[in-house]
Formats: sequence, C-alpha cells, structure tokens
Amino acid sequence: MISNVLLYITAVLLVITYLYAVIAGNPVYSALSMGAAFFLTSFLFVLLGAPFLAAVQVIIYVGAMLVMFLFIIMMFDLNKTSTGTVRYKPSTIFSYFLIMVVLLIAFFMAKGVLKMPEGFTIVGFGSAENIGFNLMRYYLLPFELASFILLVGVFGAITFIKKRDKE
Amino acid sequence: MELNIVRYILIFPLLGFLVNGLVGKRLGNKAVGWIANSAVFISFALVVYIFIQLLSMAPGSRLITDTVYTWINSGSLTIDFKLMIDPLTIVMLLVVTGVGFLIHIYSIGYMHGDRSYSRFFAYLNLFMFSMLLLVLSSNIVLMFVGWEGVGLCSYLLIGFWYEKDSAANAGKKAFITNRVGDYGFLLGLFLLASAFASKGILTLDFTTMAAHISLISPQILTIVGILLFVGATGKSAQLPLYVWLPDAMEGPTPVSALIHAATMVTAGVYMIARMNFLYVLAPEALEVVAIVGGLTALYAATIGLVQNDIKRVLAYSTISQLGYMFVGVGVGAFSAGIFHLMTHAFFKALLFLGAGSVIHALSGEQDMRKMGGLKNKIPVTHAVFLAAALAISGIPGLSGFFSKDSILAAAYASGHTVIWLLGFITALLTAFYIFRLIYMTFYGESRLDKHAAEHVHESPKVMTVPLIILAVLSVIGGYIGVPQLLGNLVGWHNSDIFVNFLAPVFRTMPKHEMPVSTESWLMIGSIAMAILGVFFAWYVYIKSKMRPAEHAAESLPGVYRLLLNKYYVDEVYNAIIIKPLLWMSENFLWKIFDVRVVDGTVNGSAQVTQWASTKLRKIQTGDFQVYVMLFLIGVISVLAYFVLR
Amino acid sequence: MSYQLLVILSFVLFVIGMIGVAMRRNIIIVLISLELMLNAVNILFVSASKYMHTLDGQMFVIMVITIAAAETAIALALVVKVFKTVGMVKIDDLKKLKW
Repeated sequence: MISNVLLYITAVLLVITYLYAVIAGNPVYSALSMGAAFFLTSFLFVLLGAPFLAAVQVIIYVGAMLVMFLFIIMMFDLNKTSTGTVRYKPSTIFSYFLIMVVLLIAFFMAKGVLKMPEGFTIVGFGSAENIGFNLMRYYLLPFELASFILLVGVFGAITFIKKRDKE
Repeated sequence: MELNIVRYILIFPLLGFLVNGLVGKRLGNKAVGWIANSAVFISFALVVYIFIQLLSMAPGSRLITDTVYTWINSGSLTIDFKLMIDPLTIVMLLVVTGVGFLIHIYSIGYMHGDRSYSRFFAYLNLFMFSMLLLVLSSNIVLMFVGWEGVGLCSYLLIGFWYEKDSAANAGKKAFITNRVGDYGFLLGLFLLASAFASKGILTLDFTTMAAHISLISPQILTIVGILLFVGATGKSAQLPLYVWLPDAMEGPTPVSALIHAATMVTAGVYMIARMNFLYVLAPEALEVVAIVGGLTALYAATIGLVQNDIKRVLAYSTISQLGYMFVGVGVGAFSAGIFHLMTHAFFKALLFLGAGSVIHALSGEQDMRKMGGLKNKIPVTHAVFLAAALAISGIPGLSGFFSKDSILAAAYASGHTVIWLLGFITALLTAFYIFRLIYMTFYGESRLDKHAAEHVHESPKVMTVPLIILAVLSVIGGYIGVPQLLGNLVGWHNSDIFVNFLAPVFRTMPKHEMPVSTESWLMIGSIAMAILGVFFAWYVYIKSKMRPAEHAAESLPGVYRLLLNKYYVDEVYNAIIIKPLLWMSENFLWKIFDVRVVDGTVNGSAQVTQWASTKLRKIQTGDFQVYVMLFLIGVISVLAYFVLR
Repeated sequence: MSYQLLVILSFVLFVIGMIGVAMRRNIIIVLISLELMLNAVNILFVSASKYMHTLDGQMFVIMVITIAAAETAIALALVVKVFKTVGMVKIDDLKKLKW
C-alpha cells in the first residue's frame, strides 16, 4: 500500500520535472530538472523491482550525462545566449496532445485493466547477479554489439572534435 | 564405415589454391611450387592410406563415407555434403592424385620462368579440388558441382596465356561447348530428381538411388541415361561435342596432360560407371553410348592420321581413346572401361608430358614437319615416349594392350560386332598415327630450324623424373588386369585383379560367355593390327622417307584435305549454329531488345526519378524540427493503424 | 498501481519529451528532451518487466542506456563543433541542410 502511494507521488513529480525541463528558458535549469527526473526514475525502478537498474540509472544518467550537459553549457556560456523559448504556437501543441489522447483512448478501448502482480515470486528479481547472468547467457551478442556501439561513439566524438591538420 | 579424414583429401588442394591464388605473387616461385606440390602430395598420401584401409576390409563391404554437413535442406529434399569412397572411387582417386602429383612436379620445370607462375599453380590446385570433389561426391548434385568446377578450371587453364587470341578463343570454345553438354546433364538430373520424388524418395544419393532404381520406369531411365550421356559427350569430348578438345591444346602442356588427357575428360566415363545401376536398366541408352564411343574412336583416329601439330595428334588420340572407354562402358563392361581409363591416364599423360619435353627442347616448336632426328639429342624423352607409344598401340605386355583388349573382347562377346570392328580398325590406326608421330619426331633426318637446332637440350630432372615414373606405370600398369585367358597360360588364377576389385560396385549385365578359341583369335587379331600399324608407319615414314604419304595425299586430294581440315566440322558448326546466333544477337537482341527495351527501361526510370526529385526537393526545408514533425506523424499513423484496426 | 497507469505515465512523459524535441529552439534543450524521451521508454520497459515477470525488459534498458550514452557523446561533440563554427546553438540558424 505504501509503495503504491509512493508510486503515485513519484509519477506526479516525474511529470512536473519533465514539464519544467522542457519549458525552462535557461538550459541550466532544464538540465538540473532533467537530473531530478532521472533521480525520480531511479526511485521508480526500485519500486518496480529493478534495484540494479536504479543504480545504473543514477551512475550513468546523473553521474555522467548530466555532468556532461552542464559542462558543455558552462564551457560555452550557453545559458547567456538568447535563443528564445518555444518555436510553435500553442495550437500546434494542442494538436499534438489531441493525437496522443486519441491514441491513448484507443489503447484503453483495446485492453481491459491489467493488474500489476503484488509481491515477487522470484527471489533476487532484477538483482545485479540475475542481470549479469542473463546478460552473459542470453544477451551476449547484443551486449557485445552494445560495447561496439560505445566504441564507435567514442571514435565519433573524437573525430568531430579533433582539429584538422590542414586548417 | 565413417572416416573423417576423407574430407582432408579435398581441403589441402583447396588451401593450396587459396594461398597461391591470394598471396602467391608475394611468396616467390619456389614457395608457390612447394605449396602446390605438397598440397597434392598430402592428398595423394591420404588416398594411399585410405586405399590400404579399404583393402583391409571385406571385398563386399568396401565403402567409406564422410558426411561433412547438410548442404541443401529445402522442403523435404535433403542433400548432404557427403563424400564416399568405394573401389571405383579409389581407382579414380589414385589416378587423379597420383598422375596429378607427377604432373605438378613436372610443371615446376615446365612453367619455370613464366610470368603467371603462381596463377598457374593456383588454377591447377583448384582443378585438383574440383576433380576430387567430382570423384568423391556421394550424390549426383554434389558431383555436378565438381563437374562444373573442372569445366571452369579447364576454361581458365586453356586460356591461361590469355594475351594470345587463339588461347582466349579456345578457352571460350571449350567452356561454351561444355555448357551445351552440361545442359543435357542438368536436364537429366532434373528428370531423375523428379522421377525419384514422385516415388517419394527425396534424396539423390548414389546408394539410395541404386537401391530404388527399379521403381522408375525404363522409358524414363533411358531418357535420363541419354541426357546424362549428352553431358558426358561434352566433358569427355565425344561426337558431336568433341570440337573443343583439339583447340584446348592452346593451354600449357601440363594442363593438356592433366586435364585434357588424364583426368577431366574421363569424368564422363566415370559418371557413366558411377551411374551403372541406371544404365544397366536402360540398355538402349547404353547402346547409344557404345555406338557414339565406337564412332568417335574411329573418327578421331582418322583425323589424327594427318595432323602435323604434335599436340593435336595427341588430342585426337585422346578423343579416340575416350571413345574406346565409352565402348567399354557402353557394352556393359564397366570395369574394362575404367581399366582403360586408368592405363590411358598413365600413357597419355606421359605422351603429353613427353611432347611437352620435346617442345621445351625445341624452344616452343610444335610442328612435326620441323622436327626429326631427335632420338640421340633427348634420349630420356625418346625412351619414355617410345614406352608410351608402345603402350597405346597395344603391343602385348604393356598396359594399353590389356585394357584395350578387354574392351574389344567385351564388345565382341556382348554381340556388338560392328562396334568391335570399329574398335579393331581404330587399333590399327592408333598404332599407325602414334608411330608416325614417333618417326617424324625422333627418327629420320633432322628438319629443325637452325635456331632451334642449336638450343636442343634434354629437360631438367624435375621434368624427366615424373616422365620416368609414368613410363614405368605405363609399362607395368596393365598387370593388375591380366585377362584370365592369359593368366591361365601361366597358371595364375584370378589374374584379373582389377575386375575383381571393382566387381562389387557394378551391377552385372547378362554375361556372355565366349569360347576360348574365339577370345584367343580376337587377341591375336588385335596384336596383329598393332604390329601392322607400327610396320606401316615404319614403312611410310622411315623406309620410304614419307614418299608414300605424299603420294597418297596427291592421289587422294579430296580425302586428304577432308581429314586435314577435320571433316570441316568446325566450319559446319560455324555456319549452322554460330552464324545464325550471332546474327540474331546483333539484329534482335542488341539492336532491338537491348537498345529499346533494356536501355529504355533504365533511362525511363532514371528520368522518372529525376522528375520526381525536382518536385519533391521542395519538402527539404533544412529545418530539422519539420523533419521531426513529419517523422512523428508517420509513426503515429502506423501506430494508429495497428491500434484502431 | 495498475500496469495501465504506468504505461500512461511513460506515454505522457514520452510525449512531453517529444514536444521538447519538436518545439524548442535551444539545441541543448532539444538534446535534454531527447534523453527524457529515452528515459520514458526505460520506465515502460521496467514496468513491463515486472508485469511479465521476466528480466528481458531490464536487459533492454541496459541496451537503451548504452545507446543513450553513445548518442549523447556524439550529439554534444556536434554541439561543440557547431558552436565553434557558427557561434550559435539556435536551431533556426542551422538551415544549411537543404536544397
């Protein structure tokens, strides 16, 4: 019961932080709001039985990505450059929402109410041990591919930033 | 018995091909030669090992298989990449790897200094691989892969000196002529497959087919047999598809020896022997085989009488001898045909290599009219050449005598008197043209060019040693198949080792017994023919110094020219097939179909694309958020379709 | 809390992120919105993982996080490059990519 209440609270907070991150005029606020959203997500993960992912979420998203964003913003003083806020008229936003609502309604028409299972039957569900076991056993190829993609990402980033010799 | 080392027979030549083909240029000629030779030698050693294994098994159960993997698994049809060794296979394997290895060694000397040394050995190894695959395969589909592979290698090696127009054309001719035959082979294959499939047998394994062959009606078997034989006429250069083989002599001489004398051209004979279970039930098809074989034997021998190019004489001789083999299998004496295949591989490879040695000695001269008197200048070559010539003429005691005699005896015994007569006359002609070659090349007075005469030299050891080994084989190779008639004379029971060894593989035709006296007379007759041929050649070319030949040519100009121009077959083919094809290709396929239809379609689609692009590029505003929005609309439409459906 | 509510939550979050990508002018905020979209998907994966009692969803989250990290690195590198060449991070100014 308590976890249910916590879930609702987290969900509401998530929506708020998301909205602020998207609306904020200053990129720094936006980035910080994103960090908050990541923390809340991590909390959500704990409630949903994914403790390992919760840790990963904090380490990678908050520890690495958020810092990277902030670093870039600070380095180039991007928060001072006036870029305006929103590009499109509210009517456009409204039409977007309309589409989403239509889809959501359709989704709920299609399925009945699906209850979340209460309590865990599997011991250590979502623990680091289980995840690692799965990763090395059934997801070895995707895992290797993912590592390869990271490598490509590193190379890509370096190539973009590197100064060409001729210039 | 399942034996997993069989596959390595195939793997080593393939490795040799890959190494030499990919990095051969950088390895240097010495390494290339070593790699190619050791690859073939390892295969040969493995074959010998398996041969010993096979001998230790009971005669009735000599069968070694090796399933490498499932090659085709389509619907209910399953075809394994499976290798099989039975007595027939092992004979072919020993011939292919043994003679092939000797020719590989010889090639080191012969190709010495050639620009494309590594390419040559790469092709040669690829050929060995394909040929071994053809021989080893346990089903007809895999066999067809090898069948096509040797055709490809033949093409590559005939056109090896592709800078020469004639070589390139000869390669194309060989390939296209073979395609005609292969078309027949494929049709036969499909017909056979569908015939078996309609009886619920969804595999084309030789053993399975042999077990269930009687389910299929004799009419279909006859058609299949003839269609497969069409393939064999292409590959084994029989009438009417023999035309490529004489031109194939444009290739390097070791290639002529290996591919166009000893191994590849005998693939057709092997195929028919392998499919003996089918042919035994299709006597009409066998009849066709025997008739075509007999006619080809005589026909090619007559052309061989007047040719002046040393290699061309041997080429026609090969066609003629292949005809013999087809007579052998055609009259149901499969082991006799295979026996002749083996002895022929020895002496014909030797003849070609010897001819190569002569050509090598004369710095590339191939015209026999410009040779003569070489006996003392290249003694080793002369000696081995003489041995091979005696063998092919059928002089008693040498290998050719035993094999040729057993074919002729079988032909006569089975009641094919006319075919026997064809073979009998051919025996005379064979002895004549081969000794004509010997006398024109090695005896009489020298007719060499001044330039060539100064450079005459015996070939290096690396070439003569294989020659000597082959000569020994040509002389003694026949003693594994001594006819029982002669065996009885010296009290040797079961002297026909070869036939007994192969007997479990072949289905027997109705046996025709022949009185001993008839067989003896036949044998004496063919010996007389051989000696008569040699004598005639001696009389014409040594005693009378070619005068009778010139006289004959003058008094019968029509016949002489007909023979010299090979019955004008090339010209006839040119007029009735090639010319109309070219005409149609140019006037219809090129000027109408290609220009209007093909080019029109391509250009039209290009124009449509261009027009559409000029219109559509307006959408590309360069604003990525517009792209995002369009993308989202697309995604939502797809989602909406699946959700609201 | 039912599965649907979690699905709706991730759906809503995803749409918010999408609006950010489609409508903001500041390239940094666009990137932040992109990350938020990925995060919304992660929430869906984890919920499904719990609902279906398999770890497969969580496996996918690991993959998504990997991709997100690689993507952010490259995207920020691009931003740096763009800023150095154009001196702006306004999307309106980056319209060279057209006919």
